[in-house]
Amino acid sequence: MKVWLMLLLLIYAGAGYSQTVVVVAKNSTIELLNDQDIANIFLARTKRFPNGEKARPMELKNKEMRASFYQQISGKSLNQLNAYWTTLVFTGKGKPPRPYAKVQDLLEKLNRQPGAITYLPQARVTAKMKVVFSFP
Amino acid sequence: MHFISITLFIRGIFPLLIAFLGCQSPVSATSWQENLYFNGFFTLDITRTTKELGIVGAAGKFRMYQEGEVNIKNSLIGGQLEYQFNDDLTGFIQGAGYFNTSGDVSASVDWAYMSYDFGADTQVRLGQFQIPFLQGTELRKVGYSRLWTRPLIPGNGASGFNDYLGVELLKQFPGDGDYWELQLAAGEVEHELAEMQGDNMELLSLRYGQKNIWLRGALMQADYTLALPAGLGGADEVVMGSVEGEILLGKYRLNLGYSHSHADFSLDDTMHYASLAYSRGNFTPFLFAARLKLDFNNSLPGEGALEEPELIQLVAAQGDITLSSVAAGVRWQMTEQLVFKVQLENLGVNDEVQLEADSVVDGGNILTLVLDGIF
Repeated sequence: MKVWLMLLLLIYAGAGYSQTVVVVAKNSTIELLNDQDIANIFLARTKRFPNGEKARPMELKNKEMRASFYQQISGKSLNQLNAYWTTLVFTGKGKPPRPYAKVQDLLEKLNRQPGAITYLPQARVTAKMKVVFSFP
Repeated sequence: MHFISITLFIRGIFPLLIAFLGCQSPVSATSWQENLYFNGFFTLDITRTTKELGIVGAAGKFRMYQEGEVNIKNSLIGGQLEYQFNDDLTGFIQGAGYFNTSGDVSASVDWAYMSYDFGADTQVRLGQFQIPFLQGTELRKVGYSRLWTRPLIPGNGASGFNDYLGVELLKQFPGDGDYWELQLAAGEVEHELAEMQGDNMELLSLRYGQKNIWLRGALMQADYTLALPAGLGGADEVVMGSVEGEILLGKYRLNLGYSHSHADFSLDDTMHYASLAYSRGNFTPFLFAARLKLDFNNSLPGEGALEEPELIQLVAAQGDITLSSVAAGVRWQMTEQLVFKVQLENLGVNDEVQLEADSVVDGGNILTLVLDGIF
């Protein structure tokens, strides 16, 4: 019985470990966003947070995490997303979030750049960040 | 403000304005390298036709293909440079190298403008733009952006008006699950034919989108002067409208489009297209049908006698030429930046005019292999 409970706890902890959250810097004026705010910002439909502050979305160059995130906020596959970005980029109407290959560079930018916002696995959240949205 | 004044402002005052605004407030805590963005695109197009045909050119104008010829003349490469001067001011320049209708290598600057963000999702842009009449007219050279090997637009784009020098207002309305985008444009338009001198242009475009659907409509009015030999031609205006959209139904994707242009002197054209695609992982097979009708029932003002036989025939032409196209193909997403497309198309021609000009003269089959990429 105890073994089964341990297994259940591990499974539950694992789900939280891989859950994606959207974060801003700890000192950001943004407290909470909804799923539409997230979609509008990360799909370049707006350049501002709801309070009018300039939003600077950024992301890790992690294909699996990107695929999962954009599937959740837009229903688009990565193939569809790339075509979407192409129509915006080459008409000058928007561009994708700035990509970072290294987590350290992303986190440094998050803390340093006003308006920076990104998404990470829950396990990557530190005391220097604030979670403004969690996927169910 | 008269439109001639707008273009003089852009050409003369614009550089000074940009230098002034660029000095105001630099982007905080970033180096110039972080403010510079480059994006590129290319198309390697291998096409073979069974008959002598004129085919929509990605770089403007029809491209003539000889019977049985295998050619890459619809290939191109291009790029965009974007520089962010500060939080609100950005500069863009975008162009491409391609083969012109003579088969020589040519190049063009297609977009060159400054964009200022006023906040509240409102931007004003000043400079040179591609006409936002249909998605295919703006993104004609960017093959990666479309499902098919060639843009589904009238062969001459927005009735031959491809770009303009002027001002644009972009206003986005992000909503709760949907969004609107308003685009207003005004300026001096350019036509691809030397005989057509473009003048003032105004355009309104409205786009609506949800998760699985987008719809876009555009209305455009442009003044122009047609100057043919022997004093024929004169001032005229063209009015154009377009509607197009896309619906995602599970793995199915439906694209529909319609456009119509009317002018007293030059050709009217009407286009319909419909495309159905099905996504299977990285493969998307598709079918499309398109129909373009060119109306030669216009009359020219002025009196005079033309000498060139081709012009005489063109001016006197009455009736319609209808191009009907049906095609099947597949798009293979090889990598995130590279797609491969195969398209087999049958082009049918119904020619009431019997015009023996250097254009589409007969129907036939077209096999196209395309490698589209972004970098």
